[in-house]
Amino acid sequence: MRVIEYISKENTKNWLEKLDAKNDVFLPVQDLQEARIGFLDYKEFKKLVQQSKESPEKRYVINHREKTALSPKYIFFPETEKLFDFEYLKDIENPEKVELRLGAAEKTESSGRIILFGLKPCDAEGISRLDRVFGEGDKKDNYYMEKRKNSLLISIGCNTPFPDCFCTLVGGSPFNFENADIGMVEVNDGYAIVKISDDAKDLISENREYFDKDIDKTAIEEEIEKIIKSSAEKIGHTWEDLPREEISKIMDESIGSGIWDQITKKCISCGACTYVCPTCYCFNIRDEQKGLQGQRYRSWDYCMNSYYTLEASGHNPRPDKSLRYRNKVNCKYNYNIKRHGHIYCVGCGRCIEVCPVSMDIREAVKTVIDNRQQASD
Amino acid sequence: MKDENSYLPEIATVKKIIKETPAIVSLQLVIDDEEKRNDFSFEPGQVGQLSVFGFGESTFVINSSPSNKDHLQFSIMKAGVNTTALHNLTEGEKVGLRAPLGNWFPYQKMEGKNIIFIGGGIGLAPLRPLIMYMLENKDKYKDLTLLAAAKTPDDFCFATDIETWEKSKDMKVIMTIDTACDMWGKEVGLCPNVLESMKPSPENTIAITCGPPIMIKYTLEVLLKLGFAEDMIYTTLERRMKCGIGKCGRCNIGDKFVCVDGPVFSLKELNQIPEPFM
Repeated sequence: MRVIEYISKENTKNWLEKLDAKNDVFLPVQDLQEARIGFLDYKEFKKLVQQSKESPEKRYVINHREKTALSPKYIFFPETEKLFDFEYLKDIENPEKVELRLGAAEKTESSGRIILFGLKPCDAEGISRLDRVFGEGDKKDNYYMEKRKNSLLISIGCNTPFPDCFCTLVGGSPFNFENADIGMVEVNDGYAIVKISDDAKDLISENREYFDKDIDKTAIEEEIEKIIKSSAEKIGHTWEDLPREEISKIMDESIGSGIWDQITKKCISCGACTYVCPTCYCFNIRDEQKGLQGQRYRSWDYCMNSYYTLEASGHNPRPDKSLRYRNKVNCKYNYNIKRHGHIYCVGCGRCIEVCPVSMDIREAVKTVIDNRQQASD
Repeated sequence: MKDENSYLPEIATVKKIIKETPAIVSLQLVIDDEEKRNDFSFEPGQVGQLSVFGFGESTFVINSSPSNKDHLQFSIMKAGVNTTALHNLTEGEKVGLRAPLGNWFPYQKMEGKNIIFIGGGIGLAPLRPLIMYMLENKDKYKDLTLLAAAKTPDDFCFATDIETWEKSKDMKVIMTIDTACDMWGKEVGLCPNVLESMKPSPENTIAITCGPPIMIKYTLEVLLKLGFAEDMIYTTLERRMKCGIGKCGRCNIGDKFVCVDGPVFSLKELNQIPEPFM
């Protein structure tokens, strides 16, 4: 990996401060009291830090080493988002006459860009998956695209992956910066910058003073090689190779088999796995009305919910949880390969971590593959 | 700005309401914006999303003739929250409309062929614009046959149309009800059974069916039994839909979305999807 720039940790803080002046910077913040970690607006973070000076039991720190509880997808695709307002206008002179007015959700006034700092390569990959869903096809999703097209992703590689990480199984790696605008590796007391996209060049060129001039690139590159090697050893696979070329076909063949009943037995259809998933994109649309005014919202939805496909007539094309879980796994390891050319699982492992009944998507996929092999033996 | 936003509906006015059956009304809508109204065109089989703001948005097929520039017609069976709100509308009230969405019947590929339409209940709605188009362009098509099925004589949607078509020399019409009742001089029996006894020849013939899921299921079986090839059978499917533009995820059958890859599918296309569509 070729080192382009180097920035010390001290200077990274200054750099972020500078970036935040002109842009909306989001970064992974940990609440030390509750141990929760999530992406937060830098301005919000500074406010919390300020407040915590008054109540010292509360402390907030930037922590890009651990996984955030939720993927950062909500910065571009919020859990709940207003699509537009509607209003019925009554004519007092002529009460029979009611006019209807619609207004698109006003854009937030910000001339700057959205910058995600310190997101993991798997999360950057997750965002690239959503880009395909919302940006491809005849009709685009302008709510997502408006935010996304004006954004930059600054990714930091994972020196210490977690036991439930499996990015390498689905074609990623802890140092995959393909989807990042700036790729960084934590070395010694700073970060080596190994990728800079054209769009992100100005983030560095306008802040040259923070980047070290005299660095021994060869020494840092050697250090990075060591880090990559030790990181690879820590990736916790329960099994080695996913037949990525064939997986779609294997999944297709499993659809009529009873294997899904067996795989789904434990599942309680709570949907936590989809809530934390960086690539799940399903949503519901609902109206909220009070008096003559209201809003249409969209909010995250999940295919494990029996209401998800329930039609007004009472007909439900996926009445059993095994059919719903089968859909979920196939959506990721089959259908979206056909639709968008990629596995819609980036191996972040969050679904494994949050599942209250210890379902493991790796196990589900492996069971399908093993079942097929057994059948052909 | 409006053009960029795929979720923002046009406002349309309900010009006329027709009570089709005890549970079904047809709404004739006119788009308020003059330019949008004049530019609007659609193909037979395409759908639209109707909103009653505050209640929600649901998908219905546009069932007026594509050549009809006066209004767009939608037929709604009262089933849930939004359909009830649509039933409660009065003439002159406003709704939201996002249309046209989805694909359509490949009517050009069907030229020079016999067509048999098989519609059950409100399932006749998606067939109506195609029937009307084909009747308007009868010289391009061979024999047209309609098998219309309903639970009782009162449950036929578009009764006036069926009556007109019956009288027309351009289409043969067969009507059937599920169980016998007085004053009914026509066929009695479930749609697939009546179809089987009709023994339509599959020779150069395309079959197009829509109805409740259970009817479609058995009708497709009968058509195959009668010797119709999978690519000569078309149906149009329903799923719960929200966005209508292939984003929200819920109307998928395998890797296909009913809202953008459908709602019209040939049986051949459906059988290539690994997830069963029924």
